[in-house]
Amino acid sequence: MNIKEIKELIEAFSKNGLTKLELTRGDFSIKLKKEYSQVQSSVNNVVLSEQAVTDEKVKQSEHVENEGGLIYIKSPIIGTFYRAPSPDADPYVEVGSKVKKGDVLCIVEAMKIMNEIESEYNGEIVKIFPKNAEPVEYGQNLFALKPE
Amino acid sequence: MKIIRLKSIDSTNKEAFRLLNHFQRVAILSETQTEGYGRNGAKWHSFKGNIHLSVGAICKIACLDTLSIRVLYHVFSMLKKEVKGQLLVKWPNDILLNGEKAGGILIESKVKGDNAMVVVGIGLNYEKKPLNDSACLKDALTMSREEVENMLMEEILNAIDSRLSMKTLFEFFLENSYLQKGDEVTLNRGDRILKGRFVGFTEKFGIRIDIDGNTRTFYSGEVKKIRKS
Repeated sequence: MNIKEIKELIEAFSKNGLTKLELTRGDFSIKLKKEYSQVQSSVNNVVLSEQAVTDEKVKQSEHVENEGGLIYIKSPIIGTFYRAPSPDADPYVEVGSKVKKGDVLCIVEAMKIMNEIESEYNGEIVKIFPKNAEPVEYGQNLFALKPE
Repeated sequence: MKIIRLKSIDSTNKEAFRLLNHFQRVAILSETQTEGYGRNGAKWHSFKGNIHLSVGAICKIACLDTLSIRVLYHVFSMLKKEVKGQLLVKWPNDILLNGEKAGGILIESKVKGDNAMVVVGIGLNYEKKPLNDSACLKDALTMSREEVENMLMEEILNAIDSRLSMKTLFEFFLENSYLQKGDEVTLNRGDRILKGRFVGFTEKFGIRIDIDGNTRTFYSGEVKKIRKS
């Protein structure tokens, strides 16, 4: 293989986006490797995908946390936890209740703002953490839900 | 903003929530409500001649922080300029004229993740006193009901968009508070009534009450003054 052929080979290697090429012809062999680009590219991909995972985790963990197959629904605000819309009404949910995305789970009252907390998942309520009319902090567990 | 004026509706807050499925901002005014309600589902007496207004908006949940105080700040400040008589705020967000309740605010939200549909409902006794120990504003105001309604809508929208500092809100609340340090009060928590002495407010607008020598903080409940300090 002469210099011209080698140059053509390198050109074809680059144009086709190859990262590795090995050619053996008789007692002549050539190895082409695009090491720098490959490493750079894979590092970028890893960083990007890790970033995406981190962002997604942060986004989810603000009000819910997924652990041991259960989703923990947390209070988005500081206030008072109510299980029913009024003292003589039935609770929105009980342990064992099947809920759908968009169903109201409870009210957290903060400074006379009655905040209905809706489920973001379909599933079954397996635990209710605060008692009715109990104060709750920001980020405190309200419900554990087994997703469907 | 979509503004709807009605003769009658079950509840202006409920109607605002229904309409928020179609509009970003809505205002509902109704002459009467057949199922008007206040905190904890308590009945709100809705008489023709009084103001029943709800303003709804789609917002981020961060907007809910201090919203009730911002609404009170804007609405109260507007009324104070126009009303002849002593106007005070009663924790958490009632408006008193000469010591009697002239209006109440009920803010409800539906929280889904980081977003919320929020509805600010205000009931103001303009022409009629719903109860013996309540007040109406007509005689203390030179404005017509419609003028008050229009200004309320504007002020509630201002409150939703405003970024007043905690310091400003806290000072406003203290300056205009019906409750004064040392007042003997009861606090109705729904399931029980607590009795104690009013101490003050926390930075997060919780109420501090001394009950049998222990100062406790509450974030909700209906407070009544039983004796002045």
